[in-house]
Amino acid sequence: MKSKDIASYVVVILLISFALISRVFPMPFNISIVSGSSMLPTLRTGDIVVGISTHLSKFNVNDTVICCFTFSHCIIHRVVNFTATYVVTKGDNNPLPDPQVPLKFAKYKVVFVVPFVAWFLPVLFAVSFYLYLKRKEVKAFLISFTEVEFVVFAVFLLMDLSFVSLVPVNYFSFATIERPSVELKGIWLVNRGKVLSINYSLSDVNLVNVSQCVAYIFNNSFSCSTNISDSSLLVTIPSEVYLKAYEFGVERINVSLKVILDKGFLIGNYSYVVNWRPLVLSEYAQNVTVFNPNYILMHTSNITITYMGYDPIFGIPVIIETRVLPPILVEPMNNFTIHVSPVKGSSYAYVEFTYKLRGRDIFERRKVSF
Amino acid sequence: MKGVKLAFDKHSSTIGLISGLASLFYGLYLLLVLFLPIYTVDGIITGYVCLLHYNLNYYGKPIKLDSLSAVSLLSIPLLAYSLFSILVGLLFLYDYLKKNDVCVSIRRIFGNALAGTAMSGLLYGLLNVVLPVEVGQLNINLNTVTSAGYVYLGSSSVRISPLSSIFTSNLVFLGFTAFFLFVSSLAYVILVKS
Repeated sequence: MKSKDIASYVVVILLISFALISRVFPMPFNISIVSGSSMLPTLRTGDIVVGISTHLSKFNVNDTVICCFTFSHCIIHRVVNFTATYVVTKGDNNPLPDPQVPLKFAKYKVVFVVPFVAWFLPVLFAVSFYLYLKRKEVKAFLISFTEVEFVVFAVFLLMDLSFVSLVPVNYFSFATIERPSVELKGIWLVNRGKVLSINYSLSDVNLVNVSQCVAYIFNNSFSCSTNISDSSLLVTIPSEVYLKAYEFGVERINVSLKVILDKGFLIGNYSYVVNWRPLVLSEYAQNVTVFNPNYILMHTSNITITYMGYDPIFGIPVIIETRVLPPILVEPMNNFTIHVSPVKGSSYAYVEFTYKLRGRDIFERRKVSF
Repeated sequence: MKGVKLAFDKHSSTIGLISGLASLFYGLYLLLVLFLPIYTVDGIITGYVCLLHYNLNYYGKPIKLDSLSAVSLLSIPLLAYSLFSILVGLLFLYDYLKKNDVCVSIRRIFGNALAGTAMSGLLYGLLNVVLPVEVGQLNINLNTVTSAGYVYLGSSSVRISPLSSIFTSNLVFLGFTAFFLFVSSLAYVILVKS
């Protein structure tokens, strides 16, 4: 083999190795071949990308950069965020961004792209045409003795080096595949405590069915029904649950669910607090409104309206009339209004009633002015 | 040495034949390694991974991983080499059976064996360094506890195919490469000496 040929092979090997070396050592530019579909439709497998060192040309958000970590591993993705110390990239076709990496790994900014169809077919055609023009010499060479073993070795060595230098292996491939997740967004009572709304934050997963729903207080369990609404579960709490909680003086109610997902299932134990509170009274325009802030019926009894006036001689308050009303059941989270119409000679009235709250008798009185 | 028919003795002829067969079978072996499923995945990810291609489904939907696509691309030189090795072996056998001049074939086989050492480096890297790391990412467990409770979303496991664990073991492919290089070198040296 002539020294000129050996020198040619060495130069070619060095040129090819340049692409490999530039992945780890700072070089003015880098040439790589895209592999994979993470940057579709911007970049396709086989496209050649030319990158300029980030020391020579700074990058910004939305620029495509070549991040190289070792001789073999690089990624060619778009910058979505960066600071003085780290950079976050994302493939255009990936659902999730890549894990953040130190800024020093973003080595080259892509400035030029040669699509696969723009170089492969012309190169193939050019090589084929050249071989066709030189077909006699090629045929003579292939059947001759001279240097065939070195040419075979050199061709495959160059092919090996070319591919290894130009085709990097990507990092984080599976990390950018969206993984399903279920998180709790919030729980709140709706429909006057009859329904517990459990809201989830769902990613790449859907609620299908609820196979088990139990509400329980201490050792008492109650079956509950559910409805699915998008990413929420609406659990209908039986009224017996509140009655039992009230009876035991318990303020925390637990709900256990087994939810079937399209990709698995979820077992959740949730609890919420119910505060047993006194009835809320308000007076306005000769009306006394009684609001029940609890999730059970409240029984009011001994409801009387005492009309008061003033003695015309002495000016002291006197009872004009007393009216007794039948007991009222105030619905959970609901109002009941007692209208007080004045009677002749009355200046004001008292509305009074009693009720029980957690075993205690509570007496309420409100003054209504005419 | 152009156009000279060399008279091999029976011993040299046997070595030449072995080198030709070695080239043929080495090419077939590499072809097998390229197309044999090396890893199979079960669970929420199902499918297989070969050097030249892969087929993975994630919850029933096909997925593409750039790292495995890169491995497929890097296996193209191995495919080209294996086909060339088979061709060279077949050409030698043709010349040998037709009692033609086998000198060029032996030189081709020797060059092929030298190229095989470079290719074995690439194959070793793909089988022992790149693929285990990339395929290892497919061992996942999505069962977890979140604010919503115990979330069971399944897991996946990766297994090495029993057949490919034999064919892709370092002992087998490095041994095969060394044997091929040895017999082809021997045939080449005999050729040069004669």
